[in-house]
Amino acid sequence: MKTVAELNYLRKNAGLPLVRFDITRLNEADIQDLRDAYAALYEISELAVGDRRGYFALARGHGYDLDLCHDDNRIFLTWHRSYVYSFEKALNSALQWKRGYRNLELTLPYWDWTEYRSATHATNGIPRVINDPTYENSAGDTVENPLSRAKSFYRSVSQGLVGEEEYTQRFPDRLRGEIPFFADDVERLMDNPNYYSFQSDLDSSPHGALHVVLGGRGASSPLPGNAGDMSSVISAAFDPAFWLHHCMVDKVWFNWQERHPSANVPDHVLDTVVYDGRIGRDLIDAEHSLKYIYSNDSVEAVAAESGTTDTVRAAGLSADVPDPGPFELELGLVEAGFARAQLDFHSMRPPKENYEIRAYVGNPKCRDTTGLEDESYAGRLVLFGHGTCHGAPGHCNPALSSRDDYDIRSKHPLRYEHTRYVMDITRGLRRYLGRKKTHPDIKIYLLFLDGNGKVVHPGKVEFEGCSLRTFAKK
Amino acid sequence: MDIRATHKSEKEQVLRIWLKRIPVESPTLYLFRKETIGPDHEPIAQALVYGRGEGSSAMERTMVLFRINPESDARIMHGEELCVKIQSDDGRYKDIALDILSIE
Repeated sequence: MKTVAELNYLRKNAGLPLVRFDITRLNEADIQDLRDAYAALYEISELAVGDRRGYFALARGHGYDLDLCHDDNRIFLTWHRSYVYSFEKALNSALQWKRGYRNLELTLPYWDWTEYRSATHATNGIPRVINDPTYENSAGDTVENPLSRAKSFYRSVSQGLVGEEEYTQRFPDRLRGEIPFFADDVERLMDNPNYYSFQSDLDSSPHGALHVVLGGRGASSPLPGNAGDMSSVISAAFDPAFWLHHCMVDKVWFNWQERHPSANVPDHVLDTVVYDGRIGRDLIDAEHSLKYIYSNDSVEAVAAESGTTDTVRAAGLSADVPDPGPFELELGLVEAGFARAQLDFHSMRPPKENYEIRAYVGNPKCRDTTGLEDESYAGRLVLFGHGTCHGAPGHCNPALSSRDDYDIRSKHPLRYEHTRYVMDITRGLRRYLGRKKTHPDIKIYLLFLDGNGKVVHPGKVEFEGCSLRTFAKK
Repeated sequence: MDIRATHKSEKEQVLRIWLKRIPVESPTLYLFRKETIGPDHEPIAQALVYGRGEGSSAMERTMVLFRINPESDARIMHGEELCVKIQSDDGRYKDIALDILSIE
């Protein structure tokens, strides 16, 4: 039996949209994946509070100090679609990081708050997998449920709370009684063909109402007004249920879009940039631009109809690590008369430390003492290192943050797939060529030096290739 | 706070109140028919307000949505005087002032 993460990985390789499921229809292994992924997000924030892959960094985007969400009610749907999308991708990255395995595409499940079933829900109306404070793991140990509560940066920093009071709380006394009204709300919403009025009604209820009744108020809450975290914009996203709730809000919109395919989306919505820098127009067609759909079916049912098969992933980066000493580049035939000559370093990984790469033409004996005055010296490239990683493990490894059509979050700042570092060697190459019109076999030797000017192994700086480019005179 | 029902609210039996700014707290608002308000009367609708929380700088306008309780036999009519209240801890309803942008 395939898990959601495995199934979606196969669907991705087959070019199919990923599927988001009802949390109450997930299998045990899927729930475990979800719990592990949430726990990994928490762990990243514990290891490095500012690591943008972690739970704190994501949750604070909603309210708290970043407060990116509630400034324009007209973009409620697109803003939150983008927000949930980024969270979902972070969740999957965290699971991959924790498992040390890349062939996973975990999607965020939705919590359908229009339904209550005694088999799957606690008496307060919350699905048990979200509600229960603990669960029994595969080893038979009773452990904390990461979907039940989370440490809140808002509580720790803004409210100065410590210990148990740093964790989110819910007081859902009124939730179960509201479920029939939420179902009624959704039914009514579906008949409204107008984008803005559909959006504002959905925003108010069931969206806002669910926030209020899930958070609730309780004497044991140390927050202002004894509020539960979900009740206020500023604190809501720290509750793990926030994402499952907003996934459902997004599903309601998704279903509404299917019902009203020609509904006019206002220009303001299309033109406004929302969370993570995405523009509204790129978020309207979730199936094709964000590559996901929703299903009311079980994982098995979707697996049966997906019909995907295993495919081989593309090979990862394989850095060329030659022997110590100068790195020889065979450039072959070079014609003189160029206006500029440069060496392009392809897919170079921005290094942590500072390095200098020096190029010498036709001088295999070059060393750190050869210097810049030598006749064979052609040019240099100084690399300003990005410094020691301040994040959790993997933070500075762009290989763990690959992006594709199924993950359009912004690229890792240290991405290397498309980097092109350039070294100008015009004068050095001209000098070497002298009066010759061509040279049949130019060889350039690259010397790699660390921040202290000491020659280091060329493999210290990783790149996939290097080529000479010359520009003709106009 | 006293308000009047609109044409749209009569037609849909849904009253929408737009507030200029999302409030700090998350109160439950109760809607009463003005002419029948009294200690024995129940609200004809209620609305949950998702507030911004203390310390939040959120500025957006927000909508409070009252669906008239179909069981209250309380259809609202255009022009009818209504009153919005909140419930205090002792269970009594009390007036509330809202910074209203518009009523639909």
